[in-house]
Amino acid sequence: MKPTICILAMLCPILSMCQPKPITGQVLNQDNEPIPAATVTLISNKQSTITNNNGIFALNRVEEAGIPSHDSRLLTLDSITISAIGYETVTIAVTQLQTSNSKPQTIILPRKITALDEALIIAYGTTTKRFSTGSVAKLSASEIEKQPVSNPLSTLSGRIPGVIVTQGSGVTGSTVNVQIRGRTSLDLALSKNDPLFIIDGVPFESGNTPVNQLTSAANNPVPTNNSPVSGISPFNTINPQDIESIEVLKDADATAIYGSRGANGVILITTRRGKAGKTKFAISSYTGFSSITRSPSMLSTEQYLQMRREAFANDGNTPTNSTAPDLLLWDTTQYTDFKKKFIGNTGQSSDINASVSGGNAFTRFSIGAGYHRETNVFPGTHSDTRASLRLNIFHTPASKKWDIHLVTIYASEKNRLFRTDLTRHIILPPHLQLFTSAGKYNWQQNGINFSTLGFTNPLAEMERTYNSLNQNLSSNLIINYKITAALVLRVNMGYNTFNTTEQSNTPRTAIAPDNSTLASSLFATSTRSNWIIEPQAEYNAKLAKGKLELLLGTTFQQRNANGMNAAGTGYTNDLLLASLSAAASITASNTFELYKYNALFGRITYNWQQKYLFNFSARRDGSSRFGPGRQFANFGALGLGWIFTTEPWMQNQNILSYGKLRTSYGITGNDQVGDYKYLDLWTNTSNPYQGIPGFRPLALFNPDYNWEKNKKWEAALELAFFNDKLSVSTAYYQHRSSNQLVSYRLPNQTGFATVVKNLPALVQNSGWEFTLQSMLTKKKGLHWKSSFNLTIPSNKLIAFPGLAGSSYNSLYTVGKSLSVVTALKFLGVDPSTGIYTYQDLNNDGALNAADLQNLGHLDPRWYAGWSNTIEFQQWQFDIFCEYRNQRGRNYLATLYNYKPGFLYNQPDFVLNRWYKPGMNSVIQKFTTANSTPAGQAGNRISASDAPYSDASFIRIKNIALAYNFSSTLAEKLKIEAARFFIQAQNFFTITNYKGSDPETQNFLQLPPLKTIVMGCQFTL
Amino acid sequence: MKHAYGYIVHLLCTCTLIICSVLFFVSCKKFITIPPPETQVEGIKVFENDQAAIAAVTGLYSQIMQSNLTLANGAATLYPALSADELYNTAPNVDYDGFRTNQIIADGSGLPRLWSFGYRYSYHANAVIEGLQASPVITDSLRKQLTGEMLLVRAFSHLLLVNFFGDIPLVASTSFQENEALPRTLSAIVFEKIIADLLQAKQLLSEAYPTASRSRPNKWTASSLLARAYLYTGQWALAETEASAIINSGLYSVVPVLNNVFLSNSNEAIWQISSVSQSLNTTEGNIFIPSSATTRPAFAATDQLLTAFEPNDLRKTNWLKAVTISNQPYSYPYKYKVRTGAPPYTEYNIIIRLAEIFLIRAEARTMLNNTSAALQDINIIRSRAGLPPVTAGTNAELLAAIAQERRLEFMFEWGHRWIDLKRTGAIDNVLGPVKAPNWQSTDSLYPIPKYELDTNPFLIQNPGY
Repeated sequence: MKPTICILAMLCPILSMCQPKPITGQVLNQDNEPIPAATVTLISNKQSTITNNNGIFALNRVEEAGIPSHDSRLLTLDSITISAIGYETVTIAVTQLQTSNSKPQTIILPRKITALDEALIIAYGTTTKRFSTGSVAKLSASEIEKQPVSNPLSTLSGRIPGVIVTQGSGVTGSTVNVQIRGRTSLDLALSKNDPLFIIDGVPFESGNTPVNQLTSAANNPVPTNNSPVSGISPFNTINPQDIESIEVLKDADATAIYGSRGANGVILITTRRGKAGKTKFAISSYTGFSSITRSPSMLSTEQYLQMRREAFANDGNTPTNSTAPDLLLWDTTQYTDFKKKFIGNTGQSSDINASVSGGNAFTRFSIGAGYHRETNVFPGTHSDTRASLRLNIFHTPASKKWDIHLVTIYASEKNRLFRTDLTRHIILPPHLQLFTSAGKYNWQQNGINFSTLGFTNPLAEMERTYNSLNQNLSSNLIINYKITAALVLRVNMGYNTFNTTEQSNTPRTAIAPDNSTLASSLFATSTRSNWIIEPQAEYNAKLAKGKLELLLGTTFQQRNANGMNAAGTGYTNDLLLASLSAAASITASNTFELYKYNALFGRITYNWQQKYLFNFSARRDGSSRFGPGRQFANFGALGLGWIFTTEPWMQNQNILSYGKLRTSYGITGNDQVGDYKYLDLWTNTSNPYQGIPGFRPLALFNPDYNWEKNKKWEAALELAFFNDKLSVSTAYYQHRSSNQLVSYRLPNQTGFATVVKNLPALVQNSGWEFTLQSMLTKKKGLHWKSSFNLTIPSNKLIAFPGLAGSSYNSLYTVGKSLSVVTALKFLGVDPSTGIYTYQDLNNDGALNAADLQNLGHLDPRWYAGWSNTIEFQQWQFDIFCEYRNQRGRNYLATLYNYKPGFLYNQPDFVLNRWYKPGMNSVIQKFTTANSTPAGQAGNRISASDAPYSDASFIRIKNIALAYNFSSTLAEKLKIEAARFFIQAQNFFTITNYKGSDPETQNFLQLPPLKTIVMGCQFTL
Repeated sequence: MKHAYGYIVHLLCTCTLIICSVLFFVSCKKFITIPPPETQVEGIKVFENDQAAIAAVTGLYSQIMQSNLTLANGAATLYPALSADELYNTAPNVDYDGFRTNQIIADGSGLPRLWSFGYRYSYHANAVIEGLQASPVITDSLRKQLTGEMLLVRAFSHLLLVNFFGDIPLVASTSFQENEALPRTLSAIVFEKIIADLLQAKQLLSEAYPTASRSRPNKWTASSLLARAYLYTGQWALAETEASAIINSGLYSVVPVLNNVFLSNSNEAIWQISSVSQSLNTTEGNIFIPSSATTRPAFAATDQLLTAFEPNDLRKTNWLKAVTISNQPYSYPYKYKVRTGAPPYTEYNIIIRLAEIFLIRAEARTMLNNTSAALQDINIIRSRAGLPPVTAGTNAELLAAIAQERRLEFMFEWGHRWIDLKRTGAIDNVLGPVKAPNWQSTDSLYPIPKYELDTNPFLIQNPGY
């Protein structure tokens, strides 16, 4: 929209002989609001003045030698420039101000469009960084499309301050956890603090909860205490290439309008829309390879045997057939590098996307289709494939009285995996033979069944297939109707359905011959759907010298979930495992959930002269997840902003182009406790007893739990320098979560291990977030854009009345982080005895609960991301680094039970062990049993701080190099644009971490993959 | 004119807001009221109907048998057999090694199989008892029978727990608010409660089994558990009375053929519990019997046990099976002879059988100085095992003979050996030398699982852990 500059001047009559009259006028913005403190300069003599509060200026032209002030000839040649912060500078000839009319003059300055003015999508509307009173961060398509990942959440990793993204596992399709501004949940295994995800206005049905009911290789094979739930991510059904932007809403101002669902932050995903103009056809494709990022090497057979023999010698035992079949009965000349065999292969990814978009002022459309296929680093060709489609149509009649906007995305993802992550088997003794001499799966070696040693044959294990088909359909229709220019009625109607069909077969070949279990198959389906209707009214008005926006709306939302689970057992052969009716016996169960949600919400936004910003939002929520009498609660927030660079006293400088102070405070909530938890429910038992079907109590119930409240406060300073070329922002936040809803851990004497309950605990997450962005343009087409973000978080349990008497006593300490390590202090290996020692705090000669100490925490100390984009002529180079400074779980956290010397292989750093008195070593002497002194010392490892060590890392998360065809070349080829690119994800990691990968921190789980792809993109 | 237009807009705007709000507050409460899930039923409904109430009771038996190697489904047999001098695991295994060497780790995987499941049974039983009490519509005779069954299961579960852990929290309701911070109750009081529950159950239950098989308890089941509890608490006269009442009921007989004792139609069984699995009859049969003749059994009888048999003891050949794998001889438990098998099951897990009642009476009678009657009871068991009768001796000799008989008759059954060693005070003398150098007298009680201590600060760990 081009600004129309209407000019009517009022000057004193040119040829007047009286005192020269000043040049006057009124400076307004596009909304016809006066711009105070704008600088008005006469070009000829640099004489200047500023506008008053009404935007009015008067410039008295000073006489210069020889030039009479009334010299009409000269005056008509002269011009004035008008500049104001945040506006384009306008130059006007003085003569243009001439008019016969006696009314005051208006000059309209168009607003300057910089990065600060890009649209930011927020709850039920849009804003800009300039006028936002809340904390909203944005990741745009240009940053997303450079990352060759299948899960859109991965693209956020390291790029947004205050947000930690952790990949659960390297297995294709596995979950990616997102945590906004720290952990509030006291039980991570039950509530991950998942944000609310909204895709094109519709809440994403599955959230970030794994969608699989059956166990797959994407699940954590060895869940540790407090490890988040992992599995197949629902976000694999969202094509990252379809996304136009991802907005992360963090503070109360931005999230309180989501009321009970906003406590953990909100992530808004918006898909690409059509733009008016020529119809564009774009196609892009890439292909590439993946391998694991990092994993330590394991002992060779020789080293392994030496370890075992040394362990027996240390224990003073002679190996026997039953204690050491690996030394005495097995062929000790064999060696297989199981790490290489199981997870050392190369995966492939390929991706193709095509889209058509275009339209005019009245109708715009965008249609896209994509296909993505990824294989893994396991042996064989297990693949994760996604086909996706999207449609985006907008129409408004010529009157623009109403408009309609339809967005639909659909994807079908097929994940072919197997039941358990093979990484957990890399600790098998390296001379174990997986095949018999006849080439069949081996299940015993010299009469010792693998099962008696607790082993399986991992390759046979892979025959236990896992296949899932996930389908996601999300559609949203928005209709706006303008009753008047000021009042718009809107209705937003959305529907999202997520269907999962899973099948997992265990053929007889996957079962040891000594195990009499017959082949079996598991089947699971789930259908979950979610509809939402949100009628809204929006009213815009001018009030005094400001702009008022009122929003009022209500939400009706309903979620239905149905699941079916069937197991077919007793297949006598493997031919018809996919047929449920071919099973000798079938057990089946189904589930049903209903959730209804209703809300009334409103927002008042007031912008006074683009100087003072006020934003109040409120919501009253009703949820079926609470018992009678507790279904409703109120939430709300207030945000204030002050753009001080618009103040008159800031006008006489040209360094600071933008400066804003903002603060917000509000209350959000959380109702993610599952449905029906307030009801005393019974369900059927899995099996009848003596032919009579049985009932069992489902769980403990608690009719009295109430809403969880999360109070958020934030203050921020945002600055931009040198015409917004450099921007800096600093935010301090403090979120306090109280009355937390948890699955409260109970002793089993209550019959169950958990109950849904409110905890009186008060958890505080506070921290500093810094961002720095710079844009440098040199001549010869060199552009350098750099962006850096840093977060220094802090997590603290402020209060917990009754902690000492609660089941959380052993986990948390008031005043410390929720990830506090309360453990025995590990003192390393005693050089004289060669076994681990721990600090006996009270010197009573025994190590017990009284010797536990608070030994630091596992929260990130700080984390940062640094992205650089360098453009030079036709070339574009991107590099993004992620830093995390943290302490984490090392290999001992997963391997402590498999002590060096036991019948399991070990990472090669165990060779640094004690073997003769007086020596200093990191690892204690090898042992074969838990009952030896070394074994007993080793048992205490898990209760000590030894499994925690530095897990900081610097990761070159993404590198992208692209070559764009010059416009002349493109023209010759009769195409709009073309580019070739190479992209790499998880390219390189620098860390001292002891274990596999410092991000996943689980030795027995597949580390994230490094992917390198190349491809091209054409626009016709 | 323009002014009026603005007014209309404002009016319209306000009206819309008011209408929206009114609509909201009228509709919302109704909108978010939801019915219970279709696949589950509210507790109160379960006890509005006789058939559903029966399902709540059979549900508990099904739950007991749902997972292998849990308290009353194998765990109470396996773990104490390893802790005592009966069994050893033939391959290294962290969980089993801890029990075998009496070096149990409090956060190991075996303990919760004993502890948590015991309390799960109690909760279910309490929920049914409370439900039946509150319901006005259940037929009175059925209410009595079901309440009796649940009291009996609760007592049975407490009896197992008190034997393995010593003092235990005594749970008598479903309220987690009441139960979550309960400390341990002295074992003497736990026994009193067990006996009270069983006496009440005995009164409520009828002589006839509720169903054709003996897979749900009757009055005599309550009596037999009572006899056991009286024996454990040294109430000899009461033990003898209960035992005699069962023996004299005429319902039960000692099965003459050893290989038939553990069958599902065994007339020796007072209470047996049937599998709910599609592939196995009993967990014991499944874990003890190796999959093929060339496979090493996972568990084998210790030398101490094998040398304890008198010559020609038929139990050594019928209830144990000897194999040689890689030149190493093993004898594995063979009371249950079916490793796998779909329903109908030929073997049920016997919880209590008549042989125990005879040996309880023998011990009680010895303590009451009724030696000749005691001898009769012992010899019934000995003669079935193909052994000559024992003749009169001192009370101590007789008690030793009873202990010996119990050891062999109940080997790998419900931890009898372990519990007997403890209650007779012989445990340190017997296991001390066998389990040297690891044995400590505090090992006679298992540690309370670490999770329980973590979640209930009022629980105090057993000494020695």
